[in-house]
Amino acid sequence: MDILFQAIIQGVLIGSTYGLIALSMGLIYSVSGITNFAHGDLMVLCMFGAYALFAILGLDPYISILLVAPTIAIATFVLYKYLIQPISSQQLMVIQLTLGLMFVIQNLLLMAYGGNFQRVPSVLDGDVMIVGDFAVIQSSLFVSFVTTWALAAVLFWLLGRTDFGRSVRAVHQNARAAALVGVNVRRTQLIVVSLSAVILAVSASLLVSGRAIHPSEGLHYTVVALMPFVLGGMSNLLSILISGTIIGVAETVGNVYLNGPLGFAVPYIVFILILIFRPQGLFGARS
Amino acid sequence: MLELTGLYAGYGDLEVLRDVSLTIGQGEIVGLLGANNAGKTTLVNCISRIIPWQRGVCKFEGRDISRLAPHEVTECGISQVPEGRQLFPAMTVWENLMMGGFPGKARTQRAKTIEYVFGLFPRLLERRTQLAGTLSGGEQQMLAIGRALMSGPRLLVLDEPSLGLSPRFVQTIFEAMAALHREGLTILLVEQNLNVALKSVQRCYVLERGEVAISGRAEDMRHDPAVRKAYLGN
Ligand SMILES: Nc1ncnc2c1ncn2[C@@H]1O[C@H](COP(=O)(O)OP(=O)(O)O)[C@@H](O)[C@H]1O
Ligand SMILES: [Mg+2]
Repeated sequence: MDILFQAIIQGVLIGSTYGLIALSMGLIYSVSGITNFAHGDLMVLCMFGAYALFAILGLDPYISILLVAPTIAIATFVLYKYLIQPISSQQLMVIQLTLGLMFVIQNLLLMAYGGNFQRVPSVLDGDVMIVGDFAVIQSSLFVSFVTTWALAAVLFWLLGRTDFGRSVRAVHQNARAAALVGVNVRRTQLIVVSLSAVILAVSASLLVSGRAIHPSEGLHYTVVALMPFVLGGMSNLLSILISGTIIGVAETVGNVYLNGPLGFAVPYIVFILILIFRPQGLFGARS
Repeated sequence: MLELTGLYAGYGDLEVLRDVSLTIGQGEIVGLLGANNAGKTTLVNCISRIIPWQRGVCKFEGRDISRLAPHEVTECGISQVPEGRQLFPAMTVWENLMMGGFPGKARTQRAKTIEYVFGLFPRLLERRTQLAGTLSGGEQQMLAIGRALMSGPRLLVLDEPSLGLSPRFVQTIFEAMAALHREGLTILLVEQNLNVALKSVQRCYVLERGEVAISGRAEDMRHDPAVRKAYLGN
């Protein structure tokens, strides 16, 4: 019972960050209809950015985010503006491009850092907190959880209450009408894509403390993000975040009760089961 | 006010408009008529720069707007009420109107303009917290016009505002349009219904298969058999 309790708490904490990765995926999708299959690799790139900054300057990942986030935002901006926007009307080419990007990033990281696992030490390493009477939780997970929901709250406020947010929703709901009322659609897409990169970089720095990183993990994270992205209805950001939590819980609970590979499969099984019974996604109203 | 000359445009290899020229004077209400598929919507979308085009020149208040992006055209003072209304369905009436006042200059006037729109269409005030997608067709059309007015346009382009509406709402819409015109707004009205259009505009252009077939004063056209012929497309 205590083990289950601990696993669920851990799942909720880690899952919220999975949700955050999916949310940044959903943001891009909602304004441009693009699913970025290199999303997980971009995040791993951010993680190795944190690693490099630790190796060279001895920076803590919670500090180096201040350098990683703007760098990846600018890189994504350039990528989107000069490579993706010119071909954005051809869906297949865009998919091809993001898949290609996935291999480029992965292989560059393998060339630079080899095929070993790396660790980025942070101030919270080894720090734990007790939840309830028995559950022992890594403090870094708790920080992830709080940061994720704080960031999500800011994002929801931005999207829900500001002119910029309304213009983002306008582009999502009807891009042509958005242009007609005076929204610079391309610029809005670029801002959102850069914002999404910042969120991705934050997820990376949250995940990097307390776990080993590997250059070829990108696809795993892409898939982990795709699940809540699909379950949450692709552009319904709050339900994406909640779906991330569900996937996180499935992962940790699966690992407690089933050893090895079977445990890792639990989130996928949960994902498929949900889709069988609710093909419209967890929170979708219609098919 | 608007001066369009020698416009050629289309979709990919499909040429839809050929050598279209059109002028609209300050304070005028001009009709753009033509049968289904004549190219009316294509033409207004060319003015709004929603459809990119290369050949031809479009000037607004003396300024060449031929190469602007769509949002820049709106900022210039041309606002389009698109065919089929094209609202933001998951936003409330109020949010749709706020979006209409998105351009920088309009934004400072939003509180005042929204009052004006609510005065023009009191129904929108009643429905201001309702999602646009749940409105009736007539209400949606009012909202589409209201949203277009929010940017404070000097030229309002209406693409088939009566499409699919009950006669009662058609009347409401046309009365509102007449009121806007009386207050000095310049209007380009796209209509398929010949009789409705000829009653409400001063001057008009008849498009036939992508070319201006006839143009002139509305009164002169009412009894012109050539106009009806252009409509039948033979
Ligand atoms: N998005 C589009 N892609 C390709 N062809 C189009 C498109 N929109 C309209 N057309 C074609 O252009 C022609 C003119 O259409 P349109 O401008 O909508 O006419 P109208 O508004 O007068 O009914 C039609 O033959 C139509 O099939
Ligand atoms: Mg039309």
